[in-house]
Amino acid sequence: MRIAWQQPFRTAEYGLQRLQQRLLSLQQQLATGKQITSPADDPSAYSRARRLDLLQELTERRIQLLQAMSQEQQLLHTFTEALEDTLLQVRQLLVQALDPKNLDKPAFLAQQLRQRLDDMLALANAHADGRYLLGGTRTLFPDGQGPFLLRQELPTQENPSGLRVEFRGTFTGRSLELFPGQPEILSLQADELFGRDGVELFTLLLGAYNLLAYRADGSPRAAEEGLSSAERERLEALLPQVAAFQASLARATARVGARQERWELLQQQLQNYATHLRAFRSAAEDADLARLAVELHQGQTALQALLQTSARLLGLSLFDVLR
Amino acid sequence: MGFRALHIARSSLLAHQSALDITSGNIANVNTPGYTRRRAHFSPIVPEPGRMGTGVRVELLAEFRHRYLDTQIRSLLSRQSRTQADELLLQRLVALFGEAGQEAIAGLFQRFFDAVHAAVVRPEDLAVRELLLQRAAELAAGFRQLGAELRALRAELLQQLSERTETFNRLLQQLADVNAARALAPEGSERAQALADEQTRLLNELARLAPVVATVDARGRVTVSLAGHTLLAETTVLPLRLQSSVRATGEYHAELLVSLPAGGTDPVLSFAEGELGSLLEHYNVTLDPQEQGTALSLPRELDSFVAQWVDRVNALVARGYGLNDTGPSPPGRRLFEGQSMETLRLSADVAAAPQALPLADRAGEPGNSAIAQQLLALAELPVFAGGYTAQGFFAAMVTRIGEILASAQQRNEWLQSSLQQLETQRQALSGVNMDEEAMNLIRYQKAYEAAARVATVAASLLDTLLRMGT
Repeated sequence: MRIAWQQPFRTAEYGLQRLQQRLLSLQQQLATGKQITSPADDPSAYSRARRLDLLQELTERRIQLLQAMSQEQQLLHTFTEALEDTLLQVRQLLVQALDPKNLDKPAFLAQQLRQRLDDMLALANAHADGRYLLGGTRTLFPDGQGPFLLRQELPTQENPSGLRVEFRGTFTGRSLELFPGQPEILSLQADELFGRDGVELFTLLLGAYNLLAYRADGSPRAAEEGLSSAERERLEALLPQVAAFQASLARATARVGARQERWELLQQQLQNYATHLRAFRSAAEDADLARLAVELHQGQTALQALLQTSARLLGLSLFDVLR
Repeated sequence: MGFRALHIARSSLLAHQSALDITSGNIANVNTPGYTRRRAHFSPIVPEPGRMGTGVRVELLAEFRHRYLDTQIRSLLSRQSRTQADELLLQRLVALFGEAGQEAIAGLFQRFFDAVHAAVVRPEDLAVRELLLQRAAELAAGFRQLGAELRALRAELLQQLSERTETFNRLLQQLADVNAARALAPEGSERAQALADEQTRLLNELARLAPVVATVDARGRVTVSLAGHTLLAETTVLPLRLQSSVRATGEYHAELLVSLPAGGTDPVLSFAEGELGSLLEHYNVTLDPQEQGTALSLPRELDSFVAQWVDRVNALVARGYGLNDTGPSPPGRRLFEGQSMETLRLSADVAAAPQALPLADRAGEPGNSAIAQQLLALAELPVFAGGYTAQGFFAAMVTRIGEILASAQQRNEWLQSSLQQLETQRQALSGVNMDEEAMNLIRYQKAYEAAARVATVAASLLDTLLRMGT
C-alpha cells in the first residue's frame, strides 16, 4: 500500500493519544486508590459500590443507635441498683423500728426514713443528657423539676404529714426501631418500678413515715415516744410489701442488664457485618495497586518505544540525503 | 531542423517546469487537511502529418480522489461528532451529580438522615432539632442548586444550537460560492482541483454538524441535502432556521426548519446524528423538565422524585407534634414546601422554630421520637421512583448516566478507530508522500536539464549554420 507523508504522523499521534489517555487513567487510579474514578469506568461496579455504601451507612447508623441505647441502659442500671440499695436501707429502718431495743426511737427513725425517701425521689428524678430517665416519653418539664414531685398538702387523719408524691410523666415506654417493624423499649416505666400510678411505693413509704412520725390522732409523735401495738402491727404489715418492691426493682435491674447484654452482642455482630461490607466495597471499587503498577510500567515502556520509533522514522526522508 | 529542436526543447522545459510547480505545490500542502495530491499528466504534442517529434505538454492534472471513501468518512464524522457531543454533556452531568459522600445530593441525603438519627435518640434536644432543620434546609438548597444548574445547562445548549446553526448556514453559503466558481473552472485545471479540495473540507465540516448527503454533478457542483430536504443546489441555498418554543404541555422544544424562499410552511428537519442532532435531543429530551416521552429526562425524573419526597416526608410530619403542642389533634405542620427542584424549600411551619418540629406522635411527650423514627426509616424504604430508596435513586441515576457515558465512550473509540482506518485508505490514495515528491523533483529536474541541454545543442547547431555563411 502507498504510504502518505501524514500517515506515520497520524498513526503516531493516535497511538500517543491512546497511550497517554491510558496512562492518565492509571495515574488517576493510583492517586485516588480507586479502580473506578468515574461511573462510566464500570457502571455495574459503581452501582454495586454505591449499594454497599448505603448498606454500610445504615449499618453504621444502627451501631451508633445501639451505642446510645446501651449507654442509656448503663445509666438505668446504675440508678436501679442505687434504688435497690436505698430501698434496702428503708427496709432495714422499718425492721429497726420493730426491734424491741428501739421502742423509744420511732421519731428518730422517721427522720431517717424521710431522708431515704428524699434520696429515692432524687433517684427517681434522675436525668442524663438533659432528659429525665423515668418520666416515660415525657422527658422534659417546663418548670425544670423532674417527673416525681413531693407535694405538701393539708394534713388529714389518714395523712397527718400532708405529704404526697405525684408522678407527672407517662407510662409509655420510649422505644426505638432498630430494624423496621421491630421496636426496642429503652426506658423503664414508673409503674413497673414504683407500682400503680408510678407512686405506689412512695405512698407506702410515706405511710410508714406517717406511722413513725405521728400518733393515731394525727398529732406529731414526741421524742422517745414508742409505737402502740396496733401501730407495730400496721408497720409489720408493710414489710412484705416493701420486700415485693425490692424484688420488683431487682427484676427491673436484671431486665436492663439483659437488654444491655443483648444490644452489645448485636452491636458486635453489626460491627462484623460492617467490616465485611467494607471488604466487599473495597473489592468492588478500590484499586489493585500491584496490577496498576505493572500496567503503568507496561504503559510507560510502550510510550517510550512509540516515542523512540516515531522520532527515528518520522525524521527520515529522501530530502535529508539529497545534496 | 534546428528550429524544431528548439521548439521541442522549449515545450519540454515548460512541461517540466509545470511538473516541478505541481510537485512544489504537493510538498507545500503536505499537511493541508483535505488536500489531494496532484500529478502532472504528460502527453506528446501530436505532430502534423509528415513531421516527427513535436514536443510535450502537461495536458491535465491527474485526480486522486475516491468519492465513496469521502462519503464514508462524512458519515462517520457525523456519528462521531454526535457521540463526542453526547460524551461532553454526560461528563458534565456526572460532575454535576458528583460522587456519593461529597457535597452532591447523595451526600446531603446522608447528612439529613444522620441528623434525623440524632433526633431519634434525643428528640427533646433543641440543638439536635436545630441541626435537623439546618440539614433539611441544606438538602432543599442542594436541590435548588441542581435545578438551577440543569436549567443553565439547557440554556447553554440552546445558545450552542443557535451558534452551530449559524455555522451550518455559513458553510452552506461557502459551498454555494465554491459551486459558482467550480462551474467556471476548466475540468482538470489546478483551480478545479483546489475547489474540489475546498468542497471536501466544507462538506466534512458540515458533516460534523449534521448528517448531510452530498452529490456531485458532472461539472463538479455539489448538491447538499439533509433529512430528505435539499439545502443547496448549484448556488441556491435554503438556510436552516432554529425555532424554540414552549409547548402547551410545558415541554421545551427546539427544532430546525428549512427557510423556504417563497413563504409557506417551513419543513421541520428530523435527524439524530452530528453535533446538532445531539444538541437537539439533549435540549428536547434529556434536559427538558416537562418531557412527555419515555426517554431519560433528568429534570423530569428529579422533579418527580422531589414531589414524592416532599409528599412522603410531609405526610409523616403532619401526624406529629412539636415540643410545645398540647392539642388533641396534630397541628399538621410540614417540613418542606414545593414540588420541584427549584421550588423546594424548608417549610415556614418549622423554619425558625425547632421546638415546633413534629417528631412525636403524641402531644406533651418530648421524649417520643416516633415520627423521627418513621423519617429515619425512609432512608431504607424503597418507595421512590418505582422502588428506590432516596439515596438509591441518586446512585441509580448516576449509574444510568455512567452507563450511557460508557457506551458513548466505547462508540466514540470504535468510530475513532474506523475513521482512522478510512483516513489511512484515503491518505494512501490522496495523501502526499515526501519521498515520492523528492523522486519526482529529481526526475523532473533531470528531464528539465536534458531539455535545456537539447536547447543548447540546437542553439550550437544553429550557431554552426550561421557561421557557415560568414
